[in-house]
Amino acid sequence: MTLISLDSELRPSGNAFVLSGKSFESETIEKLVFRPVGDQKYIIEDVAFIDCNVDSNVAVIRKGVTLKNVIFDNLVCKKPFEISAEAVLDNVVIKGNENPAMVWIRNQHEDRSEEIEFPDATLDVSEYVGELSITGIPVDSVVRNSDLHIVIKSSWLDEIDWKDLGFSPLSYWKLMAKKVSAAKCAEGIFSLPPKSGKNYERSMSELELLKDNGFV
Amino acid sequence: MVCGQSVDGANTLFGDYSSSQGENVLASFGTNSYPGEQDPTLDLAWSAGGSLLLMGAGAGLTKGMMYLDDVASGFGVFGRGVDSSPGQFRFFEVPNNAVELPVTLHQQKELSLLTAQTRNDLANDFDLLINELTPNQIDAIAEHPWTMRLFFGSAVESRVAGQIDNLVLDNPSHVLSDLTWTRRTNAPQDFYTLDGYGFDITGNSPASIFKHQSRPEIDSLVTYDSIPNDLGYRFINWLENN
Repeated sequence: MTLISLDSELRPSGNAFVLSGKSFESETIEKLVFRPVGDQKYIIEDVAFIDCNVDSNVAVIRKGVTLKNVIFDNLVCKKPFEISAEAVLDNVVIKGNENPAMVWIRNQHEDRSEEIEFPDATLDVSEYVGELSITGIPVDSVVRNSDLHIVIKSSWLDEIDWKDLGFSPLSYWKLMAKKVSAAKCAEGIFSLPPKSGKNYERSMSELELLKDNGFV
Repeated sequence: MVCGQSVDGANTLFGDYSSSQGENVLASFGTNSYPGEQDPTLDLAWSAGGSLLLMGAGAGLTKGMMYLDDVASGFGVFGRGVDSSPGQFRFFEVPNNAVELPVTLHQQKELSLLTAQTRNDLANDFDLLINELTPNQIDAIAEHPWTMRLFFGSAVESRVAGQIDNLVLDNPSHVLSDLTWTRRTNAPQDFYTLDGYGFDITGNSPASIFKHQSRPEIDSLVTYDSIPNDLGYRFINWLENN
């Protein structure tokens, strides 16, 4: 097995390191980590990762990285694929069935309360099935599967009379609203609760309640 | 790589949810606490009532002998490295001490501070804690509050790793700049340096310390005060009532 080191694929260009015009197919990548330091910028452009395996299960993209026209198709990574909400995502596609095991996008700096603007940005997770947690980027910039990926608002904590509407005190959806609020965001996108959980059926019934009352 | 393996360990709880490890580490930098006669970092190892244990090849030696032994065995990296490209050495700065110390000891101090602070932050501020938990983990804790014990460690590790990234983003020459997070639950260590020196952070139960100290890949074990047994239930109470 030949391990691909993405560090060695990066080429310096001014103050940036660039990886462009590459397609990795059925490769084993040592780690998928783009972590600029200081004023460094990483630009990953026109790159495809198709059926690749992240050997270390470390997939982290931090602030200072621009992903443009990048696709992660069936990226095998058993740990969350963490992407900073402060990275620039421009036409990025993540697709696969629990590959990666989770997609987790959130603010890198917790004192950052304003969602940064992505004028032309798109992130497409509509063909991703698995655990998903997105906060810190505008939900409108995310192409999702509305059957699997639910937009949750922090304002629900005040707007919804959870008890009167018949929600459990520990409703999954209330907990996710709490998570959005704790992230100091207005909205977030989350996957459905795990089917293996004892409360799955209840959570799905409560999702219908949200729909019936016009929240979803 | 095994050389001068050490355990930064269990302190007495000074309050319900606070760890004193950070203060101990900070005190080790102070000239009042350490008037300069001895190496402050090694004093740290002895000052906390046995909370920072030195083990491995050097165990049982005097402080000075331990230091020399570690130097002779290539313990850590002195001075500065160089860097220009991703994944390569970077310049890193160390405090201006009278005695030149292995970089790994400075790194252990920084990691100890970050870990103690992170443990206390997460145990006391549930907004921070819920940010470090995945939806599935939150769902599991809501169902079985005791599972908090399973997830708290990974939350600490994840937050420490994120904070290291932010420190290095702001200051590329930070002493922790060459640490790589392994992320894997079953990895032999949580972080390793470019030289392969391994750090691990874990709770300070005797069983956990014993399990980790037996791994040859871990050169320094940084521990934090174990969480109270009822933390999961307190978290659930907070979720229900806020």
